Amino acid sequence: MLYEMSDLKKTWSSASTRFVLRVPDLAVSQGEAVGILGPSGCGKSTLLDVLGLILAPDGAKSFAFCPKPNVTIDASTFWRDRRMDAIAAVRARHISYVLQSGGLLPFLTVRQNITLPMRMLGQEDDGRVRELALLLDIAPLLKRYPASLSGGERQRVAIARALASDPAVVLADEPTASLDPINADKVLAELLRISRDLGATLIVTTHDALVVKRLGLRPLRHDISKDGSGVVTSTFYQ
Amino acid sequence: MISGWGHRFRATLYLAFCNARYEWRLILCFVIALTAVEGPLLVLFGLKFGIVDGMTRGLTEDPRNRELIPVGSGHFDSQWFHEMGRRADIAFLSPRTRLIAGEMHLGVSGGTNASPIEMVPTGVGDPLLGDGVKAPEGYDEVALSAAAMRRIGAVLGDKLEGSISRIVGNNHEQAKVTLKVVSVLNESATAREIALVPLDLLLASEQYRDGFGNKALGWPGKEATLRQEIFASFRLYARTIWDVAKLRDHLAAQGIEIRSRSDDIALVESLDDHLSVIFKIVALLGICGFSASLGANIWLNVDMKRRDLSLIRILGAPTAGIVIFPMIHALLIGGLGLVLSIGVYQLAAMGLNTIFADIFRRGEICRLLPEHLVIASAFTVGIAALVSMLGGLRAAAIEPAKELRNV
Repeated sequence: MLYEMSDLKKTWSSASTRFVLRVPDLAVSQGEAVGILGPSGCGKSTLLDVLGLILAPDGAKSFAFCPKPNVTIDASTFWRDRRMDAIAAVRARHISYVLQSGGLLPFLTVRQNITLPMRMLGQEDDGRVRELALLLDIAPLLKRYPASLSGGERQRVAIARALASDPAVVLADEPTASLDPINADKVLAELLRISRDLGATLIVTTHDALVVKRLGLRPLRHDISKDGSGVVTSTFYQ
Repeated sequence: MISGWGHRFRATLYLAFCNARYEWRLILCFVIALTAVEGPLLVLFGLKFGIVDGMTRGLTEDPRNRELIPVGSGHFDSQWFHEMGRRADIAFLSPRTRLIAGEMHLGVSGGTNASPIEMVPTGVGDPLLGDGVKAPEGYDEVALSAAAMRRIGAVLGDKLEGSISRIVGNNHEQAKVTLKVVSVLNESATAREIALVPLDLLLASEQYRDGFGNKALGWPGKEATLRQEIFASFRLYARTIWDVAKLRDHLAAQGIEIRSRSDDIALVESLDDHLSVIFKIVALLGICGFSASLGANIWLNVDMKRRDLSLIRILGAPTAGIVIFPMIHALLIGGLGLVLSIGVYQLAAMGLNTIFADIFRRGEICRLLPEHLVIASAFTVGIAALVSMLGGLRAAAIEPAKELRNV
């Protein structure tokens, strides 16, 4: 299993409401493609951040991350001991993110953006950038800065960056929210295809149940309840 | 060390430099903003230092401020001179003859402008001569004040003809001596027309007036047999202006009445204290303003980068990298601003010193010592590093997810 967690809890608040995220039991195996479904504000981005080791859970009975067959990282212990640099190291090595708006660094060229995760790991570009650029149809853009790209091009570059360092898992947070429907479908399909080709696990959040069905993702459903004191609890199920 | 820390740290440094290159216009704006505050501040400090230092130097360097002049004449023997001469607060002490004896007609050999000039006994260390100026020696050398030089139309190195006269019985007699002008006193040393001569020449002329001769000078008459032991007066200079009052009190205790500028000095002393306080306040205000400007400047820079820093963190940058990222920018801004400010200061100082060269006669009006620039540099770099480090630590403490989603 890539992820195994039970009884995980995370609370946070917005200006007016307190939210609680609960995950009684979740397991994701290597190479799977999972879709976290739900409307905006339901906590799916929060769950993604917890899976991405960006956000510390309040507590969990267990929270294990096994990026390789013989490597098991006890994430709940890492967080409890505030081993931030160790977490950053795991993140850099095994986890990639595709953010809603691309999350490209504006001061790097497309090529520099894509090679950044490799640079973080001290890897040389062995032609992988070229290969990814061809697969994603962004080869002519390598020397340009993100500011001169369209939304769809930026997302493609973000996908290329996410896959450049050969991660165990790619986490995509509504990766096509800023794209028109036709482009969105195309980009998502490419993300899924390339992740499969490279053997990376893919976890995508989306508010569109049709997308999950069309791409054949394993859906993760959730319940939302609001108690008397106004606390919103969101529970995710297998 | 956690595996791959070095790679991730180096990658973060690389990002910082890429960012700086990409945002060079923005950095230039910050540099200009910093220079706009620091440049004038350096000029202000330069002026402060130049003026105060010049004034203090003027005060301490003007030998008249250190002079103690006995009123009337007295009896001072060699024992007295010997004892006084041992005091550490004395810069120069010389016996002096009766004032009436100390005049000589001086003129350039073959010239027509011979005039009576007062002779003043001198020696090595005479403050009127100033540092590194040769003291006249023997019976054939003289140092003239600038006013005396003008009076007789002499230039340095000229041979002068000196004459003194006496009346013996009904005879009007005159003795001559040839003197070479070996030094000229600074215009600022004295406005009077005087000739500084070794004490022996002064004594010889006094004895000549008293009816004696002098073999060494070829002056006819019976040689005075006794070397003079008692003097009517003295020339005395304190080591610094701050020693004058103490010396005056010491002499007054011996019944010697003294004329000095000690009251003026006391006034200057208190003025100096007050000026120092005022300048300290101005400096403090300036430094506070400068720190606030630099601090705000760099804080804003860090704040503008928080989203980028969060992204970089998600991509795996270590905490140290996140802290150093804004520091590199701050040091770049601080360093360039410093270089530009020093350039602005140099230009302004050059201009001011040229403009005021004729008005402010006590050295350069705008002046900073190398150590002042070192302090300014350390201060600039220190504040830049400190503020950006605080900003970086704050950025490192933020949960990156929060920052990214809130934008």
